[in-house]
Amino acid sequence: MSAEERALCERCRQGERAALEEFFRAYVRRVERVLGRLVGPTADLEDMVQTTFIEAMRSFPRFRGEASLATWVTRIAVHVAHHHLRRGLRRTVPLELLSCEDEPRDEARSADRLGDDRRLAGRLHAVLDRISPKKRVAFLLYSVEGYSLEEVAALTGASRAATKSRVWFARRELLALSRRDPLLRELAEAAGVTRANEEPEQ
Amino acid sequence: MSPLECSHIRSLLITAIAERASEAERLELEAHLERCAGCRDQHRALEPLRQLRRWEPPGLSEPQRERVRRAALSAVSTLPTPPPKLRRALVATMVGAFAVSAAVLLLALRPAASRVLEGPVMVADRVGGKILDGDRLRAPSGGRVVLDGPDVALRPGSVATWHAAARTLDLAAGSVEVEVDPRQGRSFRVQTARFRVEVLGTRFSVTLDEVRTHRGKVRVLGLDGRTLATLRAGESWRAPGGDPMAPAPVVEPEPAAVPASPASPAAPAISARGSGELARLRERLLAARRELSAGAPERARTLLRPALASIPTIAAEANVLQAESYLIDRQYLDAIASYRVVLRRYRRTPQAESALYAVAQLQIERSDDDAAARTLTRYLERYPHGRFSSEVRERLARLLARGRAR
Repeated sequence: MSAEERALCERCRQGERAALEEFFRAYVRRVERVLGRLVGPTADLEDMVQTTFIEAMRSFPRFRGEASLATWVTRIAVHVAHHHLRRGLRRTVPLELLSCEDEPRDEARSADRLGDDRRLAGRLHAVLDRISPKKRVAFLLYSVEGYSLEEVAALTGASRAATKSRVWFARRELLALSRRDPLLRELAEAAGVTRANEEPEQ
Repeated sequence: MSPLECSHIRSLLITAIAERASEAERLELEAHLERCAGCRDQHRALEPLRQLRRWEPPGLSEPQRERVRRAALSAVSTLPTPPPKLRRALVATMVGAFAVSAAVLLLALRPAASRVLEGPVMVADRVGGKILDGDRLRAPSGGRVVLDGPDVALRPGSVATWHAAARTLDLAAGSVEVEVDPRQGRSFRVQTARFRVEVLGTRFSVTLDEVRTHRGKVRVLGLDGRTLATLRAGESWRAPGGDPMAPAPVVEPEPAAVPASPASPAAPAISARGSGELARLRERLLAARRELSAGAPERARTLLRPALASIPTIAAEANVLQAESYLIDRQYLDAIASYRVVLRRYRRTPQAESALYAVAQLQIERSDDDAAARTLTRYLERYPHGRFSSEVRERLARLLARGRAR
């Protein structure tokens, strides 16, 4: 942890409002991204971001700087996402009904491409909904977010062996479920597959 | 290609997607894929995952971010400062004692957080005044109360119970209109026998069958915690006449149906039993609530008997109501036993969380500190971000401090 971060951390532990505001501004986009990537398109993102920051700000007195602030707040966001997935509160509103005024506009990309990406993400997360939250979170942190197995284990509070096992089983389940989804199968076929191979898993 | 080799390669596929594969591993992967159709197929089947890596989830808008910032800062604004270091302990203790005395005086002078504002609202056995945790409210001709912040209008004939720790108003009869100030940043819930409404800054009305949002946004949940609808200003939702867990007509569910799994044991049971019996059981729960409101726990227990071993969501609710009936009769051990049934058999229902907390509270009241500490610890393990987690942490800290002081 850098000296600057340590100083910010100490001020937050003392409950200094300006420091907590600085902490919020520094990490809110990171938290949004982590939650969005783990849970997929959802109308509950605002609630989850709020829960994460309330938990983080309340936990500052107990935080001893054993990890960087980024890792620490990411760990809290991961737990919030996991809790959210366990409760089954997924995508209460279909993507089409999410209000445009609630979403930031990305001028750099065309509306069509944004729509396709969102549909794919929504579809894939709908398939991921059928995988247990523990496996899903570990799998996405490893394969999509690019954390190492050790980092995923630290973020989820599991052992390396358990994490590896979760990632492995999630991959198998995702492949099996994806093959039954017409859109995802179409995407895979567009990448070169003409027929699903029925060779049994080894 | 041996099965072992293919198994190794298929693990490498994910490592490669995550861009964590070494140069040697990538070469090994490419060489194997050239020879093995099965692994090549798996590689292509993971194309959606590769595209997902490139997807940037939409973040919050600036107004949303601002709401979150205010709510988070507001929620922590009353936190105590960290414990003083040892060398400042004496000064801090003196300052603390003075502050406590001042706080007690101020608390005694300021208006109660929960109280009747207008109308002849019966609070427990009296008219008007402060509203405490667990108090039943009856408004035969209507009235208005404030419940730790939110302003609640009770329509004539309304009966409800206020659970302060959970910030939940349990509506047994009639209807309420609630105004929640978003600046307070704390959630508020209204629960009926069929669903629960959660809000964070809005104005809305609830009857036993319908929710209507006037401003802001509310979420309607089934009693198993599954979201039934999210309502924006001007939208309403009515509980379907048959299956209470069916999606709301306001919002279309996602096309991919979620199959029944061990996490949702209620789903197959509902289809097997039929809506007629379910409706009768729900009526029994409603009638039992009315009997409890009327102070007739024995009659409530009689009504609850057929529901105690029904489908999980109904049975969990019935066992909790049975526990409440025993509390009215001061039969605390029987109440704990009923709560334990929920914890053992229906631990995935929303009632399980309340039941676990209730058991801890009863153990504290019976001065069984060791058991209470174990129960509170179990609560935090299962529900680290649960409805009662703040209160549980405080109580556990006090119990542990008391234990060390002995």
